[in-house]
Formats: sequence, structure tokens, C-alpha cells
Amino acid sequence: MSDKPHTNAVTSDPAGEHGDSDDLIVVHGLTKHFALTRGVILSHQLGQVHAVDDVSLEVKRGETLGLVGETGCGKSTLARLVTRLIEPTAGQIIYGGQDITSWSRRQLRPLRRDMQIILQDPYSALNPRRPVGAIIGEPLRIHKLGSRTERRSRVREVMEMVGLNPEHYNRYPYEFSGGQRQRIGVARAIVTKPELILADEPVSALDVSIQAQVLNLLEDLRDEMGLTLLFIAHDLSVVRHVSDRIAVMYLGKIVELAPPETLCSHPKHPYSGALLSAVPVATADAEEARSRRIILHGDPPSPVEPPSGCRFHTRCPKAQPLCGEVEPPLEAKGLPEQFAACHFPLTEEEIERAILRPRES
Amino acid sequence: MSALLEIHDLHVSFHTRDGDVHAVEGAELSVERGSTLGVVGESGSGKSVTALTVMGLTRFPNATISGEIMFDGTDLVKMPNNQMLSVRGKRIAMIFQDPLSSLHPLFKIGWQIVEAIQTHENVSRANARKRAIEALREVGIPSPEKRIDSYPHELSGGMRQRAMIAMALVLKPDVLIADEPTTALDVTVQAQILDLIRRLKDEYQTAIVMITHDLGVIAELADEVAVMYAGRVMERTSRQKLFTIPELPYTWGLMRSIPRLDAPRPGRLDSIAGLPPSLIHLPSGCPFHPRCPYVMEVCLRVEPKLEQSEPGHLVACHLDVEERQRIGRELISLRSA
Amino acid sequence: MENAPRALGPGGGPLRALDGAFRWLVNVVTSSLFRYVIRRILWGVVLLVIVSALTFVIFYLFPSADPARLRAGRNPNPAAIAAIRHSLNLDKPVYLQYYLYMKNLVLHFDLGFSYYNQQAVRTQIFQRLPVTAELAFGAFVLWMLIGIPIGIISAIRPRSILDRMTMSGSLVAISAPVYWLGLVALFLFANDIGIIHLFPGSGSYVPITQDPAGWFGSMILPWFVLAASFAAFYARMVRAQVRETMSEDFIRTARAKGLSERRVIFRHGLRAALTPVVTMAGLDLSGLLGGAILTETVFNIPGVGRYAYDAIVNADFPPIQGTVLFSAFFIISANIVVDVIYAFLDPRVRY
Repeated sequence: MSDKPHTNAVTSDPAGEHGDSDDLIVVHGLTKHFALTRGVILSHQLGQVHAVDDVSLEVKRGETLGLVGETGCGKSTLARLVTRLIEPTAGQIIYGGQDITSWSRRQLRPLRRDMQIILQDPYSALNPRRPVGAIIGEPLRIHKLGSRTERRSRVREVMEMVGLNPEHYNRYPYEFSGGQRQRIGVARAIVTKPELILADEPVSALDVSIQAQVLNLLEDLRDEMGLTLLFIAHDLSVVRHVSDRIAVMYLGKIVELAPPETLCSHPKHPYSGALLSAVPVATADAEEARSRRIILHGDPPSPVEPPSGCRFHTRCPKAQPLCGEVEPPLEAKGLPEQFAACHFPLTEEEIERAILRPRES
Repeated sequence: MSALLEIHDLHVSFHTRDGDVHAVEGAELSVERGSTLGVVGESGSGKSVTALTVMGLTRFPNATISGEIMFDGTDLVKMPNNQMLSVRGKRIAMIFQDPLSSLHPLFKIGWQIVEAIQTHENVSRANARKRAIEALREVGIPSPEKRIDSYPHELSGGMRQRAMIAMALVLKPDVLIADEPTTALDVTVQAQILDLIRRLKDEYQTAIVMITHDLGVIAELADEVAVMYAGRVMERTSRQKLFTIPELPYTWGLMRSIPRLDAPRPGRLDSIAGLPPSLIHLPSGCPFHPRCPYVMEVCLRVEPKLEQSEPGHLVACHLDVEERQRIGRELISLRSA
Repeated sequence: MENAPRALGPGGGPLRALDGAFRWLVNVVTSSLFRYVIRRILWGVVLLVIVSALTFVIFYLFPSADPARLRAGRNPNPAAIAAIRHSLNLDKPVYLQYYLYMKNLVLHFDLGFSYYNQQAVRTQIFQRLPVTAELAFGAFVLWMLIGIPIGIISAIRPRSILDRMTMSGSLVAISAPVYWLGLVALFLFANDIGIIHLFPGSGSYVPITQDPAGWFGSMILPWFVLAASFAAFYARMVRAQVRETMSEDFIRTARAKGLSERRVIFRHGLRAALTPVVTMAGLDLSGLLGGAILTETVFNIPGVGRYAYDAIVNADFPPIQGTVLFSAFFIISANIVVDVIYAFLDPRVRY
């Protein structure tokens, strides 16, 4: 493995303007502040929601990056910023070696063919008034790919790939179950043979047994098509299963970035530790595990007024005065390819005490 | 029988334009005083309908309910509506999944709690208000004297669920039914709430029926577990036994499909093939047979009865007991290896 | 706010009260709701100006008849018409006319004089406003008392006989034009021309101060006719709102608490379901205050609506402009009031 970090520390210079040639996406200092306004015609600003603050990241071609965090951490916003579905307030986005930060919509259009999205709610993601064949074929129509017959056959091909019966081309969404609708969403996302798929909580709304089916499907497709996947979820076990690297986010910042095994057995950031220990484990000795859990107190602070210094310091069991004053940069800590933004990362002993470690296979 | 709440052969079906929806088909459950029963199932398993039926909240014109729900010696199925009013909220309380939509948006939470108190007890408003403040304090809401006048949307998700729990427990009911109380919450908040429920249960010895699809929550909280599928209880045992020797193919399927944090990553998740059954047109014989990897000829014809395989372990499956136990043990050891 | 009443000392009773009142006033004035209302009022004034300009433009771009000619009577000669035009300022450019009009309005609250009969528009409107108000409020009370309970009962007992009957009946009432309903009502029930001699007919209005019994009798038919379509509409809307509310999660929670069904419906359900209805009712009422033109015309009630109707027929611009402005004023004010009331009724709404 190369010892060049896969991410750029906030305080140091990025390694090369446009990153590596196998980086599909590179972002520098990406920031999004949503303005809170009052009034309709003459509006004035009340404050800003710091949804994403100064995030720098690289995503290699073909890798699956998991974005995990709780409500309000900014993971959905970050994913949409990277694909310019939302306009950044500041920062730079480099896609496929090109700086697309200020590209116009027209310039972006051909790129959109290569970036697709799968959404969370299978019940509202599909237009109920259109037959599923049309829904799946829509991206082809929009990008003017292929003749009508070619499009039809591509749609059928894709329906088979996701495990749907191509004969159901003319059925409407209401005739399908939640899991099947999600498959339709997946089919729609792969129909243009994209390079990048943004999956925003694709399995959260599904039953456990269906969840597993859809996850397997996504993984199979990814392997078959060489997709780069941005996988957003709040469920750490799901993200761990699917990702090559996981970015843990808290209040608009990446607090830890590491491969799943490293993160799950040797987390450095106390928030990652809390997340890990909070997940209830379905085993006979759950009670014992539970007694060691790191319980966070209080509620996540509002993204409108993020705490000073390290944003997690108000709830961190290890917080020191320094934490409230100086924001820790995201830097290499612990194992190879692991980065954490913390002044006082977790020690092995603390991890041992609080978290169940996966047995090495 | 010291069981506080016992459900025998409960059948609940709803007559709709598309046909009869058989939501619950012969459920068998029991809860002891002070213990926690975990009811596991996915959508369509009938777990929520069973809970609502215990509360008497499924008595619609198009509903057919039969069977027995014995609560402290009386059958709730046959209890007239006006008598149910003194059971609901006072002796059996229920909390729901989404506290934002489950609390009235236009009334302060204090008002809603006071209403719960005054409905069942003849106390003054001032008195009820004091008790409401105490209840909020007990569930860990800071500055309860101020928060009592907040509206639900002014609180965070975790606080709202605590307020719901406060409202449910303020009258110290014998049974608390919790229908997916943490599903809509962030995982760290879920940990807090589960912790709270456990603490309150220890203190007040309330019997709890915890309905969830999350086996992890069951592993943490339940004493006894019931696995439901297609409106039936198909496995019933202690938590310990469920997680050491599960004996139901559906349970095995559930356990296999959950990605775990504490086990090495499998290449693929073993999912359960197929889709949950339609409740209008149920499969013949065993409702799980279309999806069961161990299906035999008899499974298509004969519905398996919930029978004891071992003391304290009831299973509805045609597979041979020893075979089931072998597979179950193997599965668990594979997962912990 | 730390100026403690302590400073006032033990004997500061009335001073303390004054201090409290003052503090309350400051709280109100600095509150966001107050600022919101001020903003809305300012925008309202802008809107009124726009409305007046638009009416002006419309009248002058698309005159239905030449007012001067109408005024001049039969067989007018061009000289007479020209003279009348000049006296009415009609020969001046439009923007100058508009400017003169607005100047009069703002400085003297003078709405001009009718081209037709030289009456002061303002006097006429103020005289007729109480009459229109009587009609509007009466109909309002009637449609709320009829429509809302019917809607609630229909919602609680869906698909019952009552529900089916009222929903189909309401369709008829909404579809029937109000003037048709009015004429049918007269035809059926009017003392003079009707089949059943029950109520006074058209033109029988007397002011309440003059003859209360006669006034009341003359208003019954107009009230019912005007209320009919509103009652029907509100019944349907209330039904839909209540049905939707009753399927909400918080209703399930209320039942789970052991509340009686009556309390669940009336305290929890209606409180949530009727909030939007209240605001709609306010807006509908304010629309009527601008004049229920058709009803007043059919029943020959001397209200603002009748006045507007006559003015339109006579291409009499000043009363038209005047009544339009008044109507706009009521609707704009009602909109502001209703939004404020909504903020009190629904704590989730924040301005």
C-alpha cells in the first residue's frame, strides 16, 4: 500500500492539485452553509446551518467510500456537494482530473451520465404515475442515449440484472414491494453505465432480510461494473460490510477516516468509539458488551452554532480544555491508512474496555 | 400460571376491498410480571397488530378478532369498550415508533402528560403537574420544570421519546408495550433510550413487551423472545436459548442477513430468498415454506404447530428437533468464530 | 431585563404594575411576530397602491362605455359630451388622473364622486357597509353552524346514509350559482311572487334600527342563499380534514392513553383538524365584506355589493374604484389577521 495519505490534512498542502490519476474525486476544503432566512420577498438572514465545513477527501476509482454519521452530520450534503447536486459555499471539486467547481450546468450535463443516485425511500423515489420501464429508461432518454428500441432492450437487460422480471416493464410502482422498488431505483441508477453511484441510505427503509438482498445486489453490480460507490448510511454495521474505507462524520466534519477493519477494531476518535459501542449486538453475551458501552450524554449540538474548537468536545468523555479551543486537524494516527481528528485519541486500553473487537479471521 | 399477560390463539383479520387481510393468525404469547418479552419480526409479521389488539385499538368495523388475551385474570378480547378505557393507559401503556408524529403537535408535553394522569386519577391539576415534572426528571430530561411547557417539535428526537416514555409510565402501569421505540432514533440516542428503559424496568418492575425488528435490541433487553412471521408466533424461548441454539429456519435467516460489527466480514450476506408473504393470500401449510432452504414436502401441506422442543423452547417447524438444534448450534458457532 | 422591581421598594404596587405593563409592551414590540406584522402591513399598503393602479389602468384601457356619453343622457351632442368629459377630468392623461385621484385619497380620504349622480363615493360606501356586514356576518354564522357539524359527523361516520346524502347534496349546493339559488328561493318562498308565502321578497330590506322584526325577516332568505354554497364547501373540507387528522399517529396515542373516543375526537382531533378551517373562514368572510354582489342584487339589498353592481352597469368609475379598494383592504387585512391567528393556533409556525 502506498504511504501517501488518501486524504489531505486540513493544515497541510494537498499532494498535487488534481490528485492521483486513479482518483475519481478529489475535494479540497469543501464547505456548505445553508442560510436560515426569514421573510419571503425581503428576506434577512438569521444564521447559517454549517452542514459541511472544510472537508478534503479523495475517492479512488472503483472504491467504495462509506459515509457514516448521525442525523445532521452532513453526510448526505457532502455526497451531493461532491456531485454538484448542491452548490458549494466554498471549496474545490475535482472529478476525473477536471476542476468542475465552477462549471455551468451545460458543461456538467454530460458528466451527469456518469454520476447516478439511489435514494432512501423506495416509496417516494419513484414517480407513481409512470410505468417502471419508463422510470428506469428515463436517464437514457434525458441523455439521448440510443434509439427507442435500444433503450427498451437496455432497460430489460438492466431489470434482469437487478433481479426484476423484464415482463413487468409496464407495471406501476404501486404493484411492487418496498424491496422491489428499491431494485427499480438501483436499475435506474445503473442504466447509463455510470462510473459513480451515490447511494443515500439505500437500505435503511427495508426489512432486514430484504436489506441483505439489496446489499448483495449492490455489491455484485459494483464488482461487475467496476463502480465507484459513495455509500451513505447511519447504520455502521451495514457500512462496514460494504465499504473499502469509512469516513465518520460529526457536525459537518470528518472526524475519522479508515478502512473498516481498522475502524471497527481500533477506532481512534472517541465519537467512532461511541458509535461502535452503541450498536446493539445480537449475541448471547450482549449484556456484557452493553455494560462496557460508551454512553454519550445530551443531544448533538445544533449545526447552526457548532461548538468551538473540536465540535465533539461538548459530549466527549475524554475532552480537555484544549479541545474547546483548538480544532484538531484530520491527520494520520494509529494504523496505516487511518486518519483521525482528535487531540486525545482512544488508547488500546480504552478500546479494549469499551468495545467488542472483531476476532481476526 | 403467574403470567401477567397471556395471549392464546389470537386471530385478527381485516376485511378490505382487496380481500381479507389476515394480520394475526393464531398468536401465542405470554409475559411474566417484571420480565421483558421481545417480539421480533419484519413488516407483515403481525407484531404491531397484536400489540394494538391487546390495547383494544383494532376494534374497527371491518375487523374480526377472536382468541383470548388474558390480563390479570380477565379476557381483554371480550372486554367492553368502556371498561377497556380504564385498562388502557393505566394498567397497560403503549409507546410508539415516531415520537414526533405520535405526540400531539399543538399541545405542550406537560399538558399531554397531565391529561394522561387526570384521565385515570382524580387529582388536581397542580398535583398532576408536579407529578408530570417528576416523571420528566426521572426519564432524564434536564430542567423538567421548564421543559414541561415545551411543544414536541421544540425537543430533540431523544427528548421526545423520553417524554413519551414519561407519559406512558407516569401512572406506573403493569405492562409497557413499546412498538419499535428506537427505530427512528440515531444509534447513540437509541443506546441512551434502551438504557433508560432498562433502568425504569428494574426500578418499577414493569413488564415490557418490546416489539422490534432488531435482534440486537432483543439481545440487550429481552428476557424472553418470540419470533413472529406472517401473523404467527413461530419460535418462543428465552433470550439465552435464542442466541445459543435457535431452532427456526426463519430465525437463522434473520441472523444470517444481519451484517455484524463483531464478526469478520462475510463476502456476501446470506439473505432470505424471496419476499414476505401477502397477508391476503397466505401460502398453504407453513407460511415460510416458499422461502425456506430446508423445505420438505410436508411443509407445503401441513401448518406446523407451536410445540415444545425442550423445556422453555417452543418452535413451529416440521424439521426434526435434533436436526434443528444441530443447525442452530452450528450457525452460532460460525458467527462467533 | 434586569431592572428588578426591588428598586421600587415595598410600597411600589401601582408602579410595579406599570413597570410590568411596560415590560410586556417592550416584549411585544421587539417580538418577531410584531415585526412580522409590521412588515406585512407595509406590504399591504404597497399592494393597495398596486390594486388601485391596476383598476385604473383596466378601466381606462377597456372602458365598457364612455361615462361622459352615458352622463349626457339621450341624444347627446358632441359639445355636451366634451364639456362633461372636461368636468370629469376625463380629458387629462391617465397618469395625471391617477395622480389626482391618489392625492385626494391619501390627503383627504376622498374617494371621488360618482360620474352618474355626483354622490360622494365615500359617503355611499360607509352608509352601505353596515348592511353588507349584516349580510356577511349572518351568512358566516349560518354556514359555520351548518357546515362544520355536518362535516364532523360525516367524517366520524363515513359512508353512512348521512354522509352520502350530505356529500351529494353539498355538490349541488356548490355547483349552483348563487344568483340562481337566490331566484329559486324567491320563486319558492317569497311573500309576493313565491309559491309558498313564507318570507319577504326582494327589495324588502329595512334597517335594523327601523324595524328589527322586518329586518330579520327580510334577511333570512339572503342569509341562507349566501350561506348555502359556503356551508356545502366547508362541510366537505371539514370532512376531509377530520378524516385525515383522525388517521394521524397522535390520535392513536390519545386512544392508547385511555381517553374516551369523544375526547379523542373533540379535544385532540378537532383541535388539529379545524385550525386550517378557521383561517379559511376568516378569508372567506373578508371577501364577503367587500360586497356579496350577486346576492345583494337578487334580493335588492342596499349594500356595497349592490352599489358596485350599479356602478359597473353604468360604467361609473369612481364607485368601482372605491369598492375595489375597500374590498382589497378587507382581504389584505384579513390575510394578515389570519396569519397571526394561525401562529397562535399552531406553535410550529414561526415568523
